[in-house]
Amino acid sequence: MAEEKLVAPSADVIVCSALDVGEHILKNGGEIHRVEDTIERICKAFGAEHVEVFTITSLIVASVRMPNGVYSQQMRRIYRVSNNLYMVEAMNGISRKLCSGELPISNLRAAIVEAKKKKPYHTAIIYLGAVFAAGGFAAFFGGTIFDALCAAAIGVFITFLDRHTPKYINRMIITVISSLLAGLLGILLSKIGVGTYADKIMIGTIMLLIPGLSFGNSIRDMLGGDIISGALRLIESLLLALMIAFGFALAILITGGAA
Amino acid sequence: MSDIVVFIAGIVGTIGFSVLFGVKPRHLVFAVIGGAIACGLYLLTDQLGAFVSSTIAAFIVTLYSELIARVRKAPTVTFLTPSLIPLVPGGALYYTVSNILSKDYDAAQTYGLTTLDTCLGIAAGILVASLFVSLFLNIKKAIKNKKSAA
Repeated sequence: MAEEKLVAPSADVIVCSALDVGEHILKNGGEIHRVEDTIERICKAFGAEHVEVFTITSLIVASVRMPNGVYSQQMRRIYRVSNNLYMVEAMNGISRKLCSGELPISNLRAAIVEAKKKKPYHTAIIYLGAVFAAGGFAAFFGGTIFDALCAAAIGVFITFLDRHTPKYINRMIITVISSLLAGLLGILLSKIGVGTYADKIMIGTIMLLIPGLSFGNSIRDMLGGDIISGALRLIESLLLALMIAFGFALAILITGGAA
Repeated sequence: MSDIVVFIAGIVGTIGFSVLFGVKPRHLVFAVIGGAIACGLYLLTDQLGAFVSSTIAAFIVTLYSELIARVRKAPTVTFLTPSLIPLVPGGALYYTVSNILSKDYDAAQTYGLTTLDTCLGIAAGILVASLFVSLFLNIKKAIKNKKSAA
């Protein structure tokens, strides 16, 4: 153990590595307190004397003081949050291994790349998931089997859009465009007689667009004392809901009514 | 009969969302059970109103997720997120907008309030359940500390 302490990584490396792990937890849908807790734990495990972490939905700031008086402070900007719950779990595992010394800090990058590659589902299965999700909820909210099938088809289209739009395009705009297209397609499919109720088809596809994860997380963040982060997420999910409403409203206005 | 169809539809939808959210296959069954609990409670308590109904469902589902997360040694979000999906007021949100567009403001108000009620209900459910869990964990910790001190 004494030898390990001698070749201990520098404060900069420790903070950078801890931020790498924290960034991936936040990016893939983890809670704020989990991010802060993980960063603090990793830094402490590598001998940091004092750790300060502050996280909001789009930024992580971490500052560390080593016993020899060396400081390091770094920050990370987070751009787009998505739902990859398997990554949150994988990062949790990596953090545990880092802290126990099972995974050397020099291998962290490789471990993260490895975890990213381990997608639990094939792309085809993900589209099947979209079929289940949109179709299932179209029926859940009172649609017929035909409505469910229409919603499923539109759901696949939306998922395709979501996966293939460049990351630099504003998320609000993507949401408006997706909702508009989903609304237009839903009304079209019911007008030509494939679906029965345009409203049920659209509700099924709305469920895919609604930021359910952000909403649930925002409440849990605020309860954990991260009021700012929670409020940010709440406002974000409310804005997204508004954009969805706007997109569908446009679709209904263009086609002149859903009925 | 139709309730059973709705229940199954909700479960199918939850399976879809679990896959979309990247829940690992080995946790999939437990995430979907959470969704099934939410669907079932939502259907059973429907006549109590949007707020009470979603509070009860969110409360039970949060407790379930916290418990299963400890049993399965995975983050709570893995189970909580898919489980909460059936409670999301997609229908009410849609009818709010469509009624505003057709200038039926009374109906729009009703649906708008339902949307709001449901959101508040989910928040309240998560809140109370999380409070219970943290209280329980604190008590457990205190007992453990006492034992190791003795």
